[in-house]
Amino acid sequence: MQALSPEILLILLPLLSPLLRPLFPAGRRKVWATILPVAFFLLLILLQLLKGEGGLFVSPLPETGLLLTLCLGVLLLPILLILPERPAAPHAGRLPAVWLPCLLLSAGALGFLGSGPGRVLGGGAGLIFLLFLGALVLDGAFPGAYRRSFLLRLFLSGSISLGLALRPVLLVSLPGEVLFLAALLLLFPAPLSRRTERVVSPEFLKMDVLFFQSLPPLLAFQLLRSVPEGFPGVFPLLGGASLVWGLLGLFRAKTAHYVQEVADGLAAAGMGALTAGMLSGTSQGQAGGLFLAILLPQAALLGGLVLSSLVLRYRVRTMVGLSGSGTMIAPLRLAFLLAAFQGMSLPLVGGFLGEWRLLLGIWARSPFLGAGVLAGLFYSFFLVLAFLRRLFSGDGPVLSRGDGEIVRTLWPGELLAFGTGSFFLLLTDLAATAGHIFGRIP
Amino acid sequence: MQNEAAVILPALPLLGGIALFLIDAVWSVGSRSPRYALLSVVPTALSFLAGLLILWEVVEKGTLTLTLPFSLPGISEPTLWGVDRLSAIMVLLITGVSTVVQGYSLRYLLGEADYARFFSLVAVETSILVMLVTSRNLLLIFLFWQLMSLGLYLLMAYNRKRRPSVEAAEKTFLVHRLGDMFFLGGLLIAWQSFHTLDLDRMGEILRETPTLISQGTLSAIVLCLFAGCMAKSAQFPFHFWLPDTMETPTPVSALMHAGIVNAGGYLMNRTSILFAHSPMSMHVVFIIGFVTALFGSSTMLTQGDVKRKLGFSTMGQMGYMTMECGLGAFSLAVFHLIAHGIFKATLFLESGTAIGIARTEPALPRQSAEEPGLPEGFHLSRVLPVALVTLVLPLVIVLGAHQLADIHLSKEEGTVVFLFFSWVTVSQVTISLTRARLFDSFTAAIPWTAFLVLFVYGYIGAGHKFNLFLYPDSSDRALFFSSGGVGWSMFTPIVLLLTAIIVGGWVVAFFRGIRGRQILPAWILSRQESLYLFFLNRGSVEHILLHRLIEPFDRLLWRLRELFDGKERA
Repeated sequence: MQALSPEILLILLPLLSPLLRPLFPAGRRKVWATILPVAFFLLLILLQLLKGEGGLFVSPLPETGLLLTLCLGVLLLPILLILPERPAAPHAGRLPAVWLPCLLLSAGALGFLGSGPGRVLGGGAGLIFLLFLGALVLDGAFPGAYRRSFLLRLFLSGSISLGLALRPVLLVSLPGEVLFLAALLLLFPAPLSRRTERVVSPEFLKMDVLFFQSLPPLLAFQLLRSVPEGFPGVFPLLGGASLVWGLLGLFRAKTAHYVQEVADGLAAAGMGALTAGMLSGTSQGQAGGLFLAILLPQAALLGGLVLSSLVLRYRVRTMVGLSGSGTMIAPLRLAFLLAAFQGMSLPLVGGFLGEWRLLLGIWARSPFLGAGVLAGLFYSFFLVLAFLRRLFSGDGPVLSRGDGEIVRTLWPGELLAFGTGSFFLLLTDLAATAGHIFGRIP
Repeated sequence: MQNEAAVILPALPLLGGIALFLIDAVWSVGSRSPRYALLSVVPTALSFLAGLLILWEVVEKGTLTLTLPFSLPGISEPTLWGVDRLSAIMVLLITGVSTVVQGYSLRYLLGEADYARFFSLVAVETSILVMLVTSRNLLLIFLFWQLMSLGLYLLMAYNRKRRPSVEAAEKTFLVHRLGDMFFLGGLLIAWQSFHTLDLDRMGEILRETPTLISQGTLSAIVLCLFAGCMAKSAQFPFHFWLPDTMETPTPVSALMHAGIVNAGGYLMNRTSILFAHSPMSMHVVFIIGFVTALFGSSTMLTQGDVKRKLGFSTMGQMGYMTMECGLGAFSLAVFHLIAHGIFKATLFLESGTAIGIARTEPALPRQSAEEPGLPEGFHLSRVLPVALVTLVLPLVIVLGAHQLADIHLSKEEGTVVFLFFSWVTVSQVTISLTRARLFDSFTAAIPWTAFLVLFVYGYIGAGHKFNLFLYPDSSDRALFFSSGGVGWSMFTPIVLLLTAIIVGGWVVAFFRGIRGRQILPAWILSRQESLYLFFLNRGSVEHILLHRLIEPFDRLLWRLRELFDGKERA
């Protein structure tokens, strides 16, 4: 295990945001009080990432951990800004205090603790779940009707992550491996879950995106990152099961009625490829897995934020209802296009390198499964193109009376979300390879 | 040889396109004035001029190379990017056609809603194409290959209010992406086998140890790459996207038919060393090209729309180009695609004017005043002289041209196809001249024949010189032709069969066109209508795909969904 320096406590820096926030009156100063500690924290991480081992922290920190932290932190920042602006929420004042520490500590823990081997890894992932569990229970905005099923899934997933410490015991036999895989697949955004008319609430959508599209890929990556060479023994079985699960997600997206079903399906498909890459036990597969672990949350969050603002504006949540909405606001158009091109694994928007490395890893272990990934890639491209057509065709939904106010309060956060999401989509393809972050050339 | 100055080839149009895009985004110059569009037209033209200088330098000093500041798995070799003879020629074609198309569009598209965006997209697409043809690594080529598809999609759908254009763009993107998947599969197998994707290195490995990679593996790589080419170059059965692209504005059609569809031919040339080491794949390439050429040309005859006719003509020509590659005549394919690109761009850009004139001029289209028939004084007894003039004379001219150009037909079997093509073409020309009575008079016949001889000799000579220019290494040329060849035991019957077909076709044409008599058997004539309908419906490939594959699959998904989720349906 790598020795961590005391500077690791810098991950607590974002906690200043909720502490400082109540001290300022509403307005610009309050916003600055929220942003500045987080921005300073992210700047430090970026500097460390750029400087490498001789940087800010005395002990060397894993680059992957830094990158994950930076990625999550930047992505979560817009959510922090948008969540407190929820109009007329009964617990609006409590939200920053609950969500800020939870989200940022999670980001830090995922990045730093999760970068270590063995039990630290499992402990980090378990901590994340516990924090989210706490946030979920405390947050009154989360719809009560759905809380039970979410709690159940989170409990199961949390058990898996905590059980990682016992992984050597679990994985000595084939039934143990299969059990591990079955538990792992529970993390996926439910390719087989029943269609539900989810609550028309942008806050709910954001949390939904966070729980079921953004975090699961990162967690799956963390759970599988220490998979040794040639593990598990029956790769075609376990990798194949992951891919089939991912394909089921795509089929679900094809027959989706609600927007969130599509998001679930696409995230599940991405996770199928990620898991297969990580299970391949090859350096290329794992490097591709890291790419996907970073890219999937970005695309999901970007898409989720756009969709949540659409839900707020137009009170629609079905795919049919969103016809033509992509043409209505210029930043939305750009965000849709970026998220869609990322979903299509096109170069310069983040997908190409991850796709290539992941395929190299999977193909090396099983060309048959590699061909399956290629087929899945094409099918997901087909779906995303179809969704893009739907969003850009038609007259668009009608704006309800009084929604203009909400639009005015939301747009800075949305703009920031588009900006950060786009920045990372570009960064991961163009710049991140320069520092060999995603593994050295074989 | 290192030369960083070559970077300006893709950089100029890229910067021009980005500058125009930003200016339009900030100030919404839109369709206010064509002078803003010059921001993309002028850099593209300058890139063309720079291309001329680079070509000169490449011929004088050899391949120019440039290293990139980063590396990736598969593209860690130092010579990632460079300009050789093939690249230089392709750069000239791309930037030249793009300049002409943009210049034409300055007035043609004036007043369109997204006028400025169109020019910025064309400039960026031009830059992508230049980067594609100057990449020397398969992974880098694939990267630009995908970007080219994306650029084409954005270009075709740039006016999103025009539904047919958007639908055509989506279909094109989808088919291209399907080809990309095969291409990607080919890259994976190549990486597993060669442990490099640098084309020069792969060529070295194959030359030094030809048996290192098994024929099966090599064929898998080549066929996967070829499937990528098939999608881009509209080869059967990936052809159905091409005719629908006629819904896009004429300049986009011109750019696509003159430049983008040639990407398949370019890739086959760039990876010719891989193709040449897999004779089985070469034969598959030939067969696909043959089917495409036959299908495209036949379908063209049944279409009523001018632009659709041109679209299927492109398909036929692409099939012919692929056939040439399958026979080992790679340089002829490049020669062909350049010639085709230039004349097809001209036809497309002129088609708008021609249609416009036809719409406003009541005398157009002109109806032929009299039935085509036998010129006065022409009798059946004169079949022999007609045959001599229209069938044998062209063959003599073409054979003589090959002899003069020192082309050994016995060693370069692939060239024989070119011979047959030249024979049919020249024969058609002489038939037209005969019917125009230019051969009736001795004084008229001599200059026309001389012109014909000069033209054919010039064309074949130029093609041969181009072959030597593009592939100066004689061992490479010999390898290509031997790989594409089938051996004399099979080659001789094929030559005889082709000769019989051409002579038979001439006989049918003679009796039907000149004598007005039908000599084909009744069972063939009775199938004419169904054959016509088959080609009119473009072989129903799209229909079969939609109704036999996609729809049943969708129904199955919905059935599964209903089983799981109840009867609710969106």
